[in-house]
Amino acid sequence: MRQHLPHLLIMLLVSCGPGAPTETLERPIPTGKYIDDPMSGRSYNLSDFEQQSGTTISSFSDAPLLADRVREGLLPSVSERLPENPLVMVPWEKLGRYGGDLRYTEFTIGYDHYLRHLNEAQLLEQRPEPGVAIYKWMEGSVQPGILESWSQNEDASSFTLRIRSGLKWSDGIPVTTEDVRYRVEDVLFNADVVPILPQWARWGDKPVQLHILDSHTFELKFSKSYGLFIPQMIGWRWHELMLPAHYLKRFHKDYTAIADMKSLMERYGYTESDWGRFYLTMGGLGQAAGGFVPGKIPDIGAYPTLDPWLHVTQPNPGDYVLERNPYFYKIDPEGQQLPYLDGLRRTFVSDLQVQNLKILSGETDLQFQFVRLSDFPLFKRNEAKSNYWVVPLPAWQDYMLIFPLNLRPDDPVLRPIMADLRFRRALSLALNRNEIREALFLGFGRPAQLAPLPGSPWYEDGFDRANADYDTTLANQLLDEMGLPWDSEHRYRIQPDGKTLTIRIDYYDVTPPAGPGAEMAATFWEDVGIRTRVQQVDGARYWQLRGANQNQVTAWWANGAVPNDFTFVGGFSMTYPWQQWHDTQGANGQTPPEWAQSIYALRDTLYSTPSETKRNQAGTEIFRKNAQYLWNIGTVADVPVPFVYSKRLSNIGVAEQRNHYPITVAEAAEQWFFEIDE
Amino acid sequence: MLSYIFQRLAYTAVLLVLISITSFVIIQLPPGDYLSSYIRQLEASGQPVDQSEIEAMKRQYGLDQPVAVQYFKWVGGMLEGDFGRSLQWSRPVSDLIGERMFLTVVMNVATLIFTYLIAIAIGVYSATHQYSAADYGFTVLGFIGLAIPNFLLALILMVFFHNTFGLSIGGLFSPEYASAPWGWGKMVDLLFHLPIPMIIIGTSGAAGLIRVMRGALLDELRKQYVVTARSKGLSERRLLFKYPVRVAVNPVISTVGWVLPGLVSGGAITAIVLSLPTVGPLLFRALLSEDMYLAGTLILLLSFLTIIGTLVSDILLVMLDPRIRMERSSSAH
Repeated sequence: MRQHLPHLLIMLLVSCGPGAPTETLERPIPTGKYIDDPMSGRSYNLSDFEQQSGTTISSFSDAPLLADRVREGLLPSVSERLPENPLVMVPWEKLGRYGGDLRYTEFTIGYDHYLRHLNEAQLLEQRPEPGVAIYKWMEGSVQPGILESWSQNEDASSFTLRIRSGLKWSDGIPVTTEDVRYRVEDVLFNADVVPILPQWARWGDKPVQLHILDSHTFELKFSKSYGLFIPQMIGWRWHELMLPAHYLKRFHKDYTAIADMKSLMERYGYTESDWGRFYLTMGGLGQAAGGFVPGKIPDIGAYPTLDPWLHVTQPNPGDYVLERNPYFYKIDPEGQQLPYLDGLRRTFVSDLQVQNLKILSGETDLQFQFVRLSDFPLFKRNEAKSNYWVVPLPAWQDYMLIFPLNLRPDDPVLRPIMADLRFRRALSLALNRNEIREALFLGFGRPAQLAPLPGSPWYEDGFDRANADYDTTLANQLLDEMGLPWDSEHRYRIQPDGKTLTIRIDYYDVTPPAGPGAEMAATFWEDVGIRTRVQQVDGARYWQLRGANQNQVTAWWANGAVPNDFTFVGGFSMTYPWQQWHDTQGANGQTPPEWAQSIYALRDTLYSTPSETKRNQAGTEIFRKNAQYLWNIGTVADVPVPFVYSKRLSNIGVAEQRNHYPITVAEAAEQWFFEIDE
Repeated sequence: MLSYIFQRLAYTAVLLVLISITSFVIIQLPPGDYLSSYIRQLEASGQPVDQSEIEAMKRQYGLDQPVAVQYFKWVGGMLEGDFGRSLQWSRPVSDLIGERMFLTVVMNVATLIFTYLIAIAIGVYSATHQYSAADYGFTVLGFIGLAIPNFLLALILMVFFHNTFGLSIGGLFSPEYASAPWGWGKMVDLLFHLPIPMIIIGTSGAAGLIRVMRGALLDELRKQYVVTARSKGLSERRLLFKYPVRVAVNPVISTVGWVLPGLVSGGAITAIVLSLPTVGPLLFRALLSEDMYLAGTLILLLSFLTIIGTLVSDILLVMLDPRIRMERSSSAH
């Protein structure tokens, strides 16, 4: 309640302010040349685009901001800056116009959840489609990005990739396979910099092999089949496979003598023996776009990138200003170089309530990260008189509240109880999901078990209904069968050791509905005689509990209803003894039962098989098992989150009817633009 | 007197060493370190973090070294004027604190003046007009000021100033001045933004001081020397300010010890809610994310200021109140 008080107050004050909303304003239906075009929102290599659309792009043009610099002789012309084979991005709605800075607020230091999506040039891209998003399932259609082509051999152990020809770093230097070789051989395989190889690079327990085929083509070879490699690679920022070698070699001891770097190393507080730390500090490993921010990367303005916008200044600590990359490789169907927006401006705020006030007062053009569904009515009420639209878009998590269970807790009395499927079914059946939906999600979404969404490749009728009905009679019957009798007052049930049957939900603030959700679950479970304690813990404390196997139930969001979410769906993160068993190949931890071991086998298939059909079958099987064995209890599917954007911003609005995730919208920021002021 | 001051300063040095060790250890007491909180943040945003990346970051931040090594590195650097680098901001701690110091001190001095002015003025008025309508009015206001949590007041005032004067939400500057160099426009802009934190932090501080001032003065006014002075025909004004107010201000002065650190970290909660570029929020966030060099340096700085502040208030009291004597009486113990 403490959190809600100021919130109510703001609502009150804002709606009492001058010009309280009297009229409701409907968001106009998006229109534009490309809305009904099947190519809308997709990206093509230039020749493919010309062939498929039957048009030719004969000349290129650029933003006035850059055209001025070309005239002054500060920059080469746009056709010299663009690659020979630019990537044509078809707008979502219509062709845009150049100009304007996009303002947003963030309250994270040293990381940016907006830039993570707005400003990330990816090796390969995912075609915008409902229900798929990067770092979720990757089975959606792959489209070219920085790599113009890709292929794999029959057993998916070798991959041939080709860099877009004529592609240039943001300082105008061409990108070649030397940048790839540097990234892999001099950085990835340098133990001073990378103490252990990332999982992908040691697939099959041997380091990946890199073969440079020519100035733009290279091959990655794994010691065993890696069918998930390309799907997994979608959404990788360029730094994972290439780094601006011409820039970073000045910090690398293989290319620059330590003596020459000494004064710089000292400035950052390093001695000669600290070269690895120094190199990492200079951003030598690269960073995902969210972490590629001033401070984290020293002298960030000089660091060549491939992203749509470049960091130029940091007016105040935590505030960023970005400006368009003159060498960005995407164009629109008329040959205009993207992005349309001149720049991005981040304002650092220290509090969620300040962000809400900034939205209401129109001091921001875009907010979609950590905007709470509970604030949706507040934004909606003030939409008409303010300068933003707010639309509910599906949350990429798909489920904002699930209850993952520990199936082998340390407590010797509780252990057989949690391991009993009847108990887990009772927990699930006792939940009144409709009430949860009304109370926590404003009536959005649909009550469901944790299951794939309709339309996804692993969907099967019934998964989402499995043990998802509100049926306390059946729940009580199952608990009676287990031999958990009621106490004399018929209030709680008795455990085999004679004490009151008690379980504990530990949660921390991962997901906004965690706290109220856990409280609601507790009341439902108490109704069937299971005493439930709800405990809010610090995040670090939670993982400590889990490491000591002291956790029982927790409240979380799903990482998408997808089989390759190995935290919840395709793994047993909350049953630590089992995970330990898997991670140490049976040396430590506890052997899981047969059915749980089969999940690990399915997961291996998911990773390795070159066949998409087999991969989808494995995914379906994993969900079948979850419906049957319930190691996660789902509550409400298809929960939306508010997406707030300026009324002047175009090429976003159609996202609602296409049912895109907010992050999918943000990935297409290059084609957003400001309409002319009225 | 001088030898006393030197003695106190010598203790201070010892105390600071102890504080530096304790603060460094306490900051690291919670489970995990800066990286684990950073990684949790990434995971909460759905970005999986590979163990490889974690190991690389550990190396970069020197978190793979033992705590003792980290501590001596920090203290060693400090002797050369290098306070280490903040893990969160990846910038030298001295830069981070330095660039916020000016605005912090401006804001807190303004608040302090505001607090003392209204507290002493109202306190004197309330005491001399005890049980009048105005006294009751101020009492009610004072209690309201004490009772309303600062964060709430901050939100209300922010909305009020936005709706009435069109002031931008949060911060000490409008967006157009935030990155501009100093000039008249920026100064004026600052003057418009300053009242919000001043009023918020000031009211809660003043509310307490008003009560103290009023109580102490009431005690004094009933004393015989006041009655005597009045009977001798001294004007009310002179009578009041010559002795009773000076005596009554005593308890207020003894709080000067906390004022000095307050100048740096004062009103942290208000500053967080208002998104002010001051030191308070910096410390709060540093503690949350176990950014030990930044948090350690700030705690050390605040401790230092507290010690100095206490010393200054002790000396001030001696100068203002003739009853306090430095020498130990030989008959004591």
